[in-house]
Amino acid sequence: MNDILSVHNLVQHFKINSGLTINAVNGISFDVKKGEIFGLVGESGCGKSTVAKSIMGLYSLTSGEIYFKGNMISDRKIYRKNKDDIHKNMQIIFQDSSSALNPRMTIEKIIREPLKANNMYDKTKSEKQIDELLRQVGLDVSFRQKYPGEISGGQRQRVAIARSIALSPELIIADEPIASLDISIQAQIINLFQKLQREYGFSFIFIAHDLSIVRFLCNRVAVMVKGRIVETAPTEVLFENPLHPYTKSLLSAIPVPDPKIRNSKFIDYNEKELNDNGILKEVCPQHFVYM
Amino acid sequence: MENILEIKNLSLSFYTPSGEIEALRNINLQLGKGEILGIVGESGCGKTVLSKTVLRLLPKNAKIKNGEILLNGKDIVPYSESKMRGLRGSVMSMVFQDPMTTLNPTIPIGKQITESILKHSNIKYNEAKKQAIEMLDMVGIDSPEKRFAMQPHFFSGGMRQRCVLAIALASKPEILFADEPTTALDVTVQAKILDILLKIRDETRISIVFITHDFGVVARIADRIAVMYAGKIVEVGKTEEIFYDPRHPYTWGLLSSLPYFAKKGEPLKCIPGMPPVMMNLPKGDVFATRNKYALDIDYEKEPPIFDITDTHKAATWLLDKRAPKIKPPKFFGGECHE
Ligand SMILES: Nc1ncnc2c1ncn2[C@@H]1O[C@H](COP(=O)(O)OP(=O)(O)OP(=O)(O)O)[C@@H](O)[C@H]1O
Ligand SMILES: Nc1ncnc2c1ncn2[C@@H]1O[C@H](COP(=O)(O)OP(=O)(O)OP(=O)(O)O)[C@@H](O)[C@H]1O
Ligand SMILES: [Mg+2]
Ligand SMILES: [Mg+2]
Repeated sequence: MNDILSVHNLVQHFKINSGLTINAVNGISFDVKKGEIFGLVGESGCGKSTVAKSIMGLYSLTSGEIYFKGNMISDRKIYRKNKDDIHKNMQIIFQDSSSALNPRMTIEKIIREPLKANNMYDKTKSEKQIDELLRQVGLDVSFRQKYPGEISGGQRQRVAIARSIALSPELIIADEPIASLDISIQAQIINLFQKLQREYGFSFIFIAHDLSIVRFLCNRVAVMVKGRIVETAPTEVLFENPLHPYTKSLLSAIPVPDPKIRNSKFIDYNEKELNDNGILKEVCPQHFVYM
Repeated sequence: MENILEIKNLSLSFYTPSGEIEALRNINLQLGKGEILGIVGESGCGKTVLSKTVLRLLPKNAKIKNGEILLNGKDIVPYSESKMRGLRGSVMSMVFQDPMTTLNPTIPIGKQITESILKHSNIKYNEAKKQAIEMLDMVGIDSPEKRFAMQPHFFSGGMRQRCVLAIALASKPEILFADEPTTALDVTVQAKILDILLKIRDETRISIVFITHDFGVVARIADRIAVMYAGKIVEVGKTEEIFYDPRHPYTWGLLSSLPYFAKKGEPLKCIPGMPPVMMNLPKGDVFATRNKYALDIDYEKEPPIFDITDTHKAATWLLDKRAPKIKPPKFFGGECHE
């Protein structure tokens, strides 16, 4: 078995009131292989975070199935049976995790807590590990005693990253983990993720809007529009030969760090063009386009 | 260009149980009317604190040690809290890095925008509501009428960020402090939002302080860029000057870590080491330990700010006429090499 995660026909509709239902995710399927970094990109509001939260079991699904290491964890009973494994081996870094840190805990306590909760705490070893984790995310030991309110936004996000890798999970779902970080620290975190993948075989779902980072980091990418995957392919194939009009629009909008190219051509895409009953077709090996 | 904001010799510290944190150190900065000033620099260098200092939104343990903040020529540092309240929103408003610090989770988004409009103009509720829906539409939220009555947790991360921008613009401020206002947006929506901001600037002559770590974004939107390091402005200049003729080794480091210049398969370049915790700072240039171009004097004496052109300045001893000539890395017109 090669897939750490499989998502089958995931549908997530939120009923707001009798007159309004938001169709956040409309039947998407994908697999994440062991040791792979799978990128999920797409328009703001297209359902990326909802996919992430559905995988984590934070919402019950409208329909569809989710398999983690072959177990169908979208089933409540199976989820409960595998609870310990899931808690240890599947971690999420939220888009706004910095606001989710407990403001009354010191940074060291925040990182120590999941180790204790999963019975992985060993005083001498773990305390050294905490120093090392902080260093890996570019913070020094003086941060241990600080509270979330005393540090900057990017520093908080890095604490959240340190906490989520502390347990050495097999799958990390990273929902825009580095959007709030400056480029030098971003580079450090990206290099760290790459190391975790290459040396320890971590798998990642990497949700991001910074396409130059996605291109650099991910092995495979899926592009979403309005709750659907419209194109998926190995990263270089997608960037070299985008086929869906939304993917083309997305790639044309990448801001280039060169003021001369300020007003480069941006291909607009109207999402209303998307038909509701297309399917993903394999146009070349591993390259699927919604049509 | 006439300056709407002028910051002179501004220093600010936080006083914490473990000691004094020198968050801003002798900041000098001007913002012209209708100008977009980008601020870049590593996490923790003081970008947010700088904006919050101008708006006076800092906790009690923060003290301005020195300096003036001239708004339309008048120093606002001595202003009372009630006078500052009068300025916030109407004259200056801020988009916070974390949208949830602005949004009230229990109040529908539309109502929060409407209230912001009503607070700063004398129009009827229904008119304000209409404007609020237009603003939601402007920032690209679809079905704004339906979304009007929904609470923030029904919105995606990027939608919340756009709502916060709508709230900040609703009061029609003269200066907008936008703290990473597009980090949660995909690039297509981001491109549209940047265009909207440029259009609003051209129409209303609003001045914008745009904090971001995305060099692609500053390249597109900023007229001028200030680079901050450890509470100081180390380089400032026109956007073209910073990109095509950067002079500070720290700016070189930032530009070299861009994935844009990276080669697939190689690790991204980073600036070695970490920014200092701004407590008990060493003498000399605090960047010296991370700077491979550091001179002996960098460990002794803080560099002054040197003028390169009328608009371009940098604080590095490399610009002193006694300094050895070095070959700076090139970023454009060829690839990035060192
Ligand atoms: N808990 C919820 N209840 C109701 N609607 C929701 C909920 N969470 C998200 N939505 C809606 O579902 C859609 C998808 O939201 P989601 O947060 O998954 O988008 P996203 O792709 O992560 O966007 P972004 O890039 O802006 O973070 C949006 O229309 C949003 O308003
Ligand atoms: N309330 C506070 N008490 C003590 N120190 C603080 C407080 N708020 C901020 N600081 C410190 O001031 C420095 C500047 O913080 P600031 O939030 O301005 O950083 P930033 O440049 O906005 O970083 P980021 O890009 O991560 O948001 C940081 O080192 C931070 O730890
Ligand atoms: Mg999201
Ligand atoms: Mg900040």
